[in-house]
Formats: sequence, C-alpha cells, structure tokens
Amino acid sequence: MAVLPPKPECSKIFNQLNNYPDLKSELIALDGMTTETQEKGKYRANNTIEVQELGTGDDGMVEFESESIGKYYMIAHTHNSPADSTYSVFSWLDFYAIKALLILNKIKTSKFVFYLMTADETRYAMTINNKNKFLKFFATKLDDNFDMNINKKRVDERDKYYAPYDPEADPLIIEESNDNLQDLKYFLSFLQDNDLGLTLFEVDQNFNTFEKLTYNKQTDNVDHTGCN
Amino acid sequence: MKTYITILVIALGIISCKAQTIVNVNTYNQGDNSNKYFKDISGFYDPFLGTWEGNYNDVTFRVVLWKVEMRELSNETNSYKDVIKGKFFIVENAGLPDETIKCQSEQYYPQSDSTWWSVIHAVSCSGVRMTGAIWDNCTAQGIPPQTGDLIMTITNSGFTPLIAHWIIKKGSRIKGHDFTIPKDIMLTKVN
Repeated sequence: MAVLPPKPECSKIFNQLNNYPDLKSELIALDGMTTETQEKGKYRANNTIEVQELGTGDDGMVEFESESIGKYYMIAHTHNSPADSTYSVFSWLDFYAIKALLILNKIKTSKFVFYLMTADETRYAMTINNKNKFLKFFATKLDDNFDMNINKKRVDERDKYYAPYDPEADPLIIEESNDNLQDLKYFLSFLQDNDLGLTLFEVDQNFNTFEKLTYNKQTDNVDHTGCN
Repeated sequence: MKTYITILVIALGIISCKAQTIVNVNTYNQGDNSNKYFKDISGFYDPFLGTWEGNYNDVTFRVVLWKVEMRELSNETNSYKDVIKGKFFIVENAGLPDETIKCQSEQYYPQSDSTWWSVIHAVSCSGVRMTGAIWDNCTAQGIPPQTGDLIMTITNSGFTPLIAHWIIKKGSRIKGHDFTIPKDIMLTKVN
C-alpha cells in the first residue's frame, strides 16, 4: 500500500495534539464559550507548560500577550455572540495581530496553529505555510520588504472584503452575515487571490477531523481535503 | 495598405482602452465591479475635505483630508474609484508663534525608500459619515504602526463650522500596543 507523503501543514496540527495531551480538551472548552458576549482565548508557547488563558480588553476583544511570551506555538480565540454581529471567519484585525507577532519574532512558524471558534458555529485552524509571502502582503513603509503595488492591492482588498461600519459600503465579509458558506468562499478567495501563504482547515466540534479548504472558482464550491 | 493598418491600430487601441461606466461610489460591490468608475457623483466627500482640529492632552490633533479622483482599483478589471486620503499632525501651541509639530504622519522611511504620504483611506456614501482605515505611525519605539477602522460622523450638517465625531475602532489585539492619536474626539473643521 502506497504511503502518502507527509502534509507539513497537517502535521503541525497533529504534532501539537499528540504532544500536548491537554490541548484538545482546552480547545473543546473554548468552543463552548462562543455563546458568551466577550471573546475568549487561549495559547501555548515555548515557555509555557500548559495551555494558558488570554485576557480580554475593555472592548471585549481578546488581547495577545507579547512581552512575557517566548514564541507562540498555538493561539485560539472566539468570535463571540451574538452570531449576527460577529465574523464567522478570521477578521482583518486577526491578520494584523499575526503580522505584529511575526514582526516581533513571537511566533514559531514551523509549529504555529491559529484556531478560531465562532458564535456562528464555525471552527477553523490556520497555519502559516510561507511567512515571507504573508509579511510581504501586510508590509508597511516601515518594513524593508515593502512593495508599493502590493500595498495598494492590500488597501483595495480591505475595502472589498472587510470595510466595516458603513452599511452602504457593502464589504463582502460582514459580521451581520448568517451565511457561513458564503463568508468562507469570500475568505478563501481573499487568501488565494493574494497568495497570502496561509492554509485554512475546517475542524469538527470534537477537534478530531481536520480538512484543508480551498475555493474552486470554476465550480463555486469549497473543496475539502482530509488531513486524517 | 498603410491606411488599413493605421485604421486597424486605432481600432485595436479603442478596444483595449475600454471606457468605464460611471456609477456612484456607493454602488461598489453591488454586482460586478469591473469596467466601472465609482465616482463621488453626489458630492458626499465634499464636507469632509479640508483641515480639522481637536484638542486632547494639552495638544492639538490636526487632520487634513483630500480627495483623490479616479484612483485605479488594483483588484478589479479596468475600474477606478474616488477616495478620501488624509494625514495627521500632533501639534503643541497650535496657532501660536511657537507652534511645534510633535509628530506627523507624513514621514520618510529609508528602509523602503518611500514617504508615507497618506495614512487615511476612506469613503463616504452619505455625506454625513466617512469610514475607512487609518494608520498611526507615531507610535513609540519598538511598537509597530497601529491600524484600525476610522469612523468620522458630521454632527451638524449644514452649519459652519462643521463638527465631526472621530472614532477609531478595533485597534491592535496585542496587549500594550495602542494608538498615540485620539480614538474618540470631536473635531472642528477649520479650513
């Protein structure tokens, strides 16, 4: 029987679940907190023994530590209730948090998994398959990998996909949406069209099954490729 | 023969430079965005353009907004959009002989050999509320520039001077990283 080649991004997920016995139960517990009205979060880093809790700021959003952290292996957070005012996928702010942590050298990219559980009952895991691509897309003029054309594209893509707070501006991904599949298609289009160096997985509620997701524009379907 | 070639070249040129349909800026993302010019037909941007000031922590926060017409959309096919761009200043003793700029967003960065001219990118679909993205590049040493969602709402439309409520929402998720510029302030249009 042929042995399938290892899938590096899947391996990041399963290596963590195998190496940290408490991780699965912690993620399941966090998944149960999406009904709360504030975000909740947990993390594991190279200088922590167990999964730790993240604090929540005054605005109800989870805050990621940077001072006391060595390097993050895993960050998980919720997008809280109510479901009609929260993103069912990762937010623009989530991308910038990852960018900031990468710039601060606070993420172990070869191990890192970024989990999201939402009040829309979606569960995703995201890994960084190419840090340089990700950082180039989010580079500012303070960064030496800044590219003016990519910068312009990023500004336009934010307007197209994420511009919030103006009901007449019509961004494609909105917090008020209850159509999780459509949100996912837009989100994957954004990742793929911009070659962001990220891999997205859908996770079952028991955190046993992980499926890599890609959007097929020809068929308008989200294709699932199992990790297990 | 030469005449035919000339006509052919002109015809091809016309085809390749396909004109855009001019539509109102508030129709962006409503259907196919390609081959359109999302123009501020209704003049929604006009009340916002100019210089705004407000005071906080014994300094003046000054914002200058301008319109860029027909900015090419890099993520659409043959499409353009009018946008509002802007910059800010943090000023001590504003309007006095010893006025001093403590920090301004317009800065040159040798690492990218470029100047950050505009840190605000916004639109208005109503003439009352402007929404967009803002960058704060006046952060302390070691803290990356902060970005957030900007909402600027004019509270006395039709009056002079105009007054607007400036709010920055959803800043950084990194603990301890925050904006140096005000996130909630009333601004008065001064010019």
